[in-house]
Amino acid sequence: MIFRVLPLLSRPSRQGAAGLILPGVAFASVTALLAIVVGGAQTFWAFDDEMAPLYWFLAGLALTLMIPPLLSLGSAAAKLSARRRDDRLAVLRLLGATGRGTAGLAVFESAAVAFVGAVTGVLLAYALSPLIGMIHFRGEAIGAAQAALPLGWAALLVLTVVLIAGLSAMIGLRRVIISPLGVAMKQSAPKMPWAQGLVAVAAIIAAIIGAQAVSNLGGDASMYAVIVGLLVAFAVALLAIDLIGAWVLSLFGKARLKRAQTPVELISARLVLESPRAAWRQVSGVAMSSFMAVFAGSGIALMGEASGADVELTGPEQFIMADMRTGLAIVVIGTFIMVACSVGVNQAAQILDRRDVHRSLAIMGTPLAVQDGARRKAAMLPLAVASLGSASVAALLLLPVLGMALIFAPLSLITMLSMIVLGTLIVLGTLFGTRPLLRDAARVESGSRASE
Amino acid sequence: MTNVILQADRLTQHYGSTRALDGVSLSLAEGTSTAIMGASGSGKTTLLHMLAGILTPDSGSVLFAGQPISGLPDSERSRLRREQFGFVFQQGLLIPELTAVENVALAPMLNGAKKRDAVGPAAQWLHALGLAGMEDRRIGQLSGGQAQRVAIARAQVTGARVIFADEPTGALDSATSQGVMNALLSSTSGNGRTLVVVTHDPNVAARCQRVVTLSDGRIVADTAQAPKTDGVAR
Repeated sequence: MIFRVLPLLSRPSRQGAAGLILPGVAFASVTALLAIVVGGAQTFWAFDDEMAPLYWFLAGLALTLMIPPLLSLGSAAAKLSARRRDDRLAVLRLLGATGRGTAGLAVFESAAVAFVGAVTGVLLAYALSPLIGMIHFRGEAIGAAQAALPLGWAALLVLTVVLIAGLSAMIGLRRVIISPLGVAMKQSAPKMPWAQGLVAVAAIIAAIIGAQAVSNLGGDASMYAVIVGLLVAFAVALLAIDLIGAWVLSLFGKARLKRAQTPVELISARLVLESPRAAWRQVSGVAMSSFMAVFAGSGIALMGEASGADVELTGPEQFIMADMRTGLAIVVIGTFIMVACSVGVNQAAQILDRRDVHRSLAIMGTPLAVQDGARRKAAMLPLAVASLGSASVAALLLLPVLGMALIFAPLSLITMLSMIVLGTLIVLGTLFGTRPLLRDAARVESGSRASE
Repeated sequence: MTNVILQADRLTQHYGSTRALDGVSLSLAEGTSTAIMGASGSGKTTLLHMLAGILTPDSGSVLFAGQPISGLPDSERSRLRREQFGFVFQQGLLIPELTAVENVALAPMLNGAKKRDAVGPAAQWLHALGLAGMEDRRIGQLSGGQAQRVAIARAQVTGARVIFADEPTGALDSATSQGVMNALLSSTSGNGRTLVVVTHDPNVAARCQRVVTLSDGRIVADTAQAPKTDGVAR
């Protein structure tokens, strides 16, 4: 029964086509990026020399790093779809549709948008493969044929993206299904458990001590044990950062609220405090890549020292430094594009969701710059905390292993800072890109009919 | 003689082929309460938006305190709305993330006041409207009537000379409506401020000193009356 009403519910809502197009574009971008990275990485599977495992490990690491921003974007896009239709679904519930039927409808619609976006993304990746094929690994271009994803993998990728969208929609619409009346009720701001923060701080301290202990083992342990030990320490730190992120953000938000004296400062601090977890999730990809940037930057500096020595590298080893730089650039750009998409979709959802408030503020005489400034600050605070915070933790972790000279070597600092600046610029660009949507929402004199 | 604070002269407005306002002229005296009534589509919200400088008319003019506002640039009209006018909407339209006192303080902050200076008067207004002790509650923690009182406080905390209310009780039950109207009237026209209310509700209109009725974009009735009082406590 429920699917008979689907065509009726799919008609443009009062939020216009943006609620459909934006998540579609986001899913297309993310699928295209993943297809390009996975496609490019398959070149490495053909390597069979002694350096091959390092390439496989780094490719796996790169793909793993792209998963959090993908999940965040999937959730944001599904949320935007949900906002588009939660009122309609609530009406269906009031008319007697079952919870399961309503959930099915929500999941189906979100998955359909994700499917169209994902297929478009795969096609885009294929179209770009000649360009991607020009990227050099081991001193030569990988080639268009190598960069293109095999059809089976492409189908699997589309399926994964559709699954993520469906699951996110199911989670996002739980409230509609539970209660048809309680869709948009906002009661009290969530409280961040301080115990969670303490556990994360303890884990980071343990990781730093662990890394130092492992690196001090020196000749007493095998190289393999040292690497595994360090990887475990880094993984613990990375998980702890994810655990502590929202908590730290809420502390910064509270501090900003205390100092807030202008409307922009007040609204932005309250927006962050409204849901530190959501704000953190939006930028958690940046936290990961900033963390890794410190490792990569220090690694590049370390290799720079090695190549500066008299030892002449031959064979596959001679390309490793250039290849790591290329790989790092791809991961960083990919992560930031996904974060930018996630921020863009979240911002669009927020603007569409609050368009009545935006318009009422404009009627009261609030300049657009104030409304725009508030949302910009609300997005930039988590970005700054994520990038600088996780880079600092990574530096602390590496300090006992590599020493201060390498971490603060010019090459390391340039790599880290350029990543942070690039990420900030991309997110700022996204915020700028959604400004027309805000301007439209806050328009008080449109030449259109007044509210009656 | 009472000062005229708002004067509309032969306002005309079209939406496509529909004539929303057809030569409406109206003078509003300072410190009075006026209800604008009419069926849906009669042009009452359009008239309110023009009096408030939100919409500019196709022809005709609006004077505020003797100064034309219709021809002002958008930024000037925005400043005028911030400094001289207050607004109460049907749904309150408060910022859900802010507390009650922050929502009220936002209005003077938009005029350049620091938060530390704006919070005191905001809290005083909340007290005056019967919301003492609820300053730090978020909007979702207030009832519809309480949220509407916060909106009334926000509209007046800047010392606005004219308060525009668009269906201020449209989303409330009748008992709560009476309480909100008591609060609105006593704090506006009861304090020498001008109140303009757009409403469908004859009970709300009966509480005002003057009722202007629109039909098809024209004023079809304009009645001065002794406003009904209401015994419901605030």
